[in-house]
Amino acid sequence: MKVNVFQKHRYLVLYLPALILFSVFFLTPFVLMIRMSFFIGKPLHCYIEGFTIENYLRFLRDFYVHTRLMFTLQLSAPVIFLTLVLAYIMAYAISRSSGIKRLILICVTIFPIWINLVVIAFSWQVIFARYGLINFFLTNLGIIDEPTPLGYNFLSVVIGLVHVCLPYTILTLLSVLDNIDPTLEEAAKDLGATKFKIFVEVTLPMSMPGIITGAAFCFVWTMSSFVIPSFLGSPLQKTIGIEIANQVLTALNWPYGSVLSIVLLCITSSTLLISNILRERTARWAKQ
Amino acid sequence: MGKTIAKSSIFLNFACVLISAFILIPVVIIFLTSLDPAKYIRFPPSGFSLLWYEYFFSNKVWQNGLLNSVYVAVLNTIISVPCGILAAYAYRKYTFKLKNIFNTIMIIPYVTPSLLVGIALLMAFGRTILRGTYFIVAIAHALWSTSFIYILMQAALSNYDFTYEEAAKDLGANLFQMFSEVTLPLLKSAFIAAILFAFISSFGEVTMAIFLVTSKTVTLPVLLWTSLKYELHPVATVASVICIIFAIVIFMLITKFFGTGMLSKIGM
Repeated sequence: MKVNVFQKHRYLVLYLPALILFSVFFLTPFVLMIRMSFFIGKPLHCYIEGFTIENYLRFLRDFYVHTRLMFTLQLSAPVIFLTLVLAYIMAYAISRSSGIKRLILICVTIFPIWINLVVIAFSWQVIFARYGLINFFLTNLGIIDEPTPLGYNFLSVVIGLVHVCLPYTILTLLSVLDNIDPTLEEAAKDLGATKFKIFVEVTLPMSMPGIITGAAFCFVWTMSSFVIPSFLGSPLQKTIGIEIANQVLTALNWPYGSVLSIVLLCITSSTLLISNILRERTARWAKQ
Repeated sequence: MGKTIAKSSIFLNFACVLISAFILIPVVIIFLTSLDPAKYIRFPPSGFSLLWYEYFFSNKVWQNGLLNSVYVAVLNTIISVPCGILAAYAYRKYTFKLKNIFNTIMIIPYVTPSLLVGIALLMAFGRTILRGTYFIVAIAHALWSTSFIYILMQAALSNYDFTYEEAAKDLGANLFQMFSEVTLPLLKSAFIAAILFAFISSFGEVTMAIFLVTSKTVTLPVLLWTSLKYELHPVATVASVICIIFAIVIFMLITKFFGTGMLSKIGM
């Protein structure tokens, strides 16, 4: 009988190692995190066991956290916009090229994925620094007289985040652009459409699913960003991610950190869920 | 007509060069500054020397960081590669009722912010015997890595012909023979790519590691993080270059074994 079950559900045996890994080290910690959010929070003591909804009430009236949440939302808008524009141009160019050019462009795109975030943040720090690359050019070209520090502001955080989001977004858009039937553009051309019109009325709507997914992921990464803004931003650019890490590592108030984590998790997962539904709708619509 | 095409492709090529420069410049800058013997990080470099490389390789702390990163990455590879490959194999080979649900479950760790995964693991295991072990860091990386390998292997297996395995079985091969004589040779390059992917994604991971390492198990990226938080020491540029070199070498191996066609499947 037992053999029979395994024979019948062989797929289950193959899925089992991953499922065990995920249930013990992914699902369980998140369930425990929900329980942790009801414990009594005492700064510098991690947590005291008990039951209270005080942590959730504190979140509702914590003005500082609200401003950080709002700031991170504001930050995500330019990041998403810039990433999408740059990624679309690059993905469009890759999908329209072939051979060695395509290979080189894909390599350039993908390679930064495995460079860790600290290195990326650090190199942008060197570029923006008082004696960094940009100041070097600006002073030598005579545009400014004295080198001024350019980093640690809103713009440097945006640039760092765009740099991190770009590779994944290019690949997402590329997979959509590669699947657009070239005969559709040909047909539009034969019907007398200009190049611009073809792009706006054929290519762009057809790539909508990729744009939606790309935007959703940029949003999620910006909302949960922590390494990049803590290197490239000033205290004014503190994101909600930094505040959560702060509660967990420095303030050592784990229950409150849990509440903030759960809030962020709800924001990111609902974004991905909605984007998934939208993606399927637009994909169906684009096909028609 | 031909003129407009040429015009627009010049614009496109130009934009492409600019975006590529945007992606690559930070890497080049770090490499150049790492060769500067000066005590302060500045651009342009004031000279050329391997001073900070010597410093890096003679310093116990940095050496340990590098070794720890390798340990964690190897452990992560051992855990995540079998998990990811087996699940992707099941997805491609069998049809079953809950296929979509299984597929979604497998992808969830890939799309969950690593900041939150790191915090959840710290809270769950930070006060158990797993605290301060390589295992807990490797497990954190393995969650992401397993999902990632699952997605990649699904793509790689879409061209795989399962009838060869059936043929081997019909000829009397047992499960082990079938695997070693048919499956392994046919999927060799995909397996190697999976191993390389798992290794490098763990080697450079920092967000989860920040929450899970102790001074004994601190990895190179976390060491870089802590050292840069307090001072901008030039040795950090060398540590960065070493991270970049690892990424380049593994990236070249991946393109060799796997081809860029598969690489473009990383996007969602």
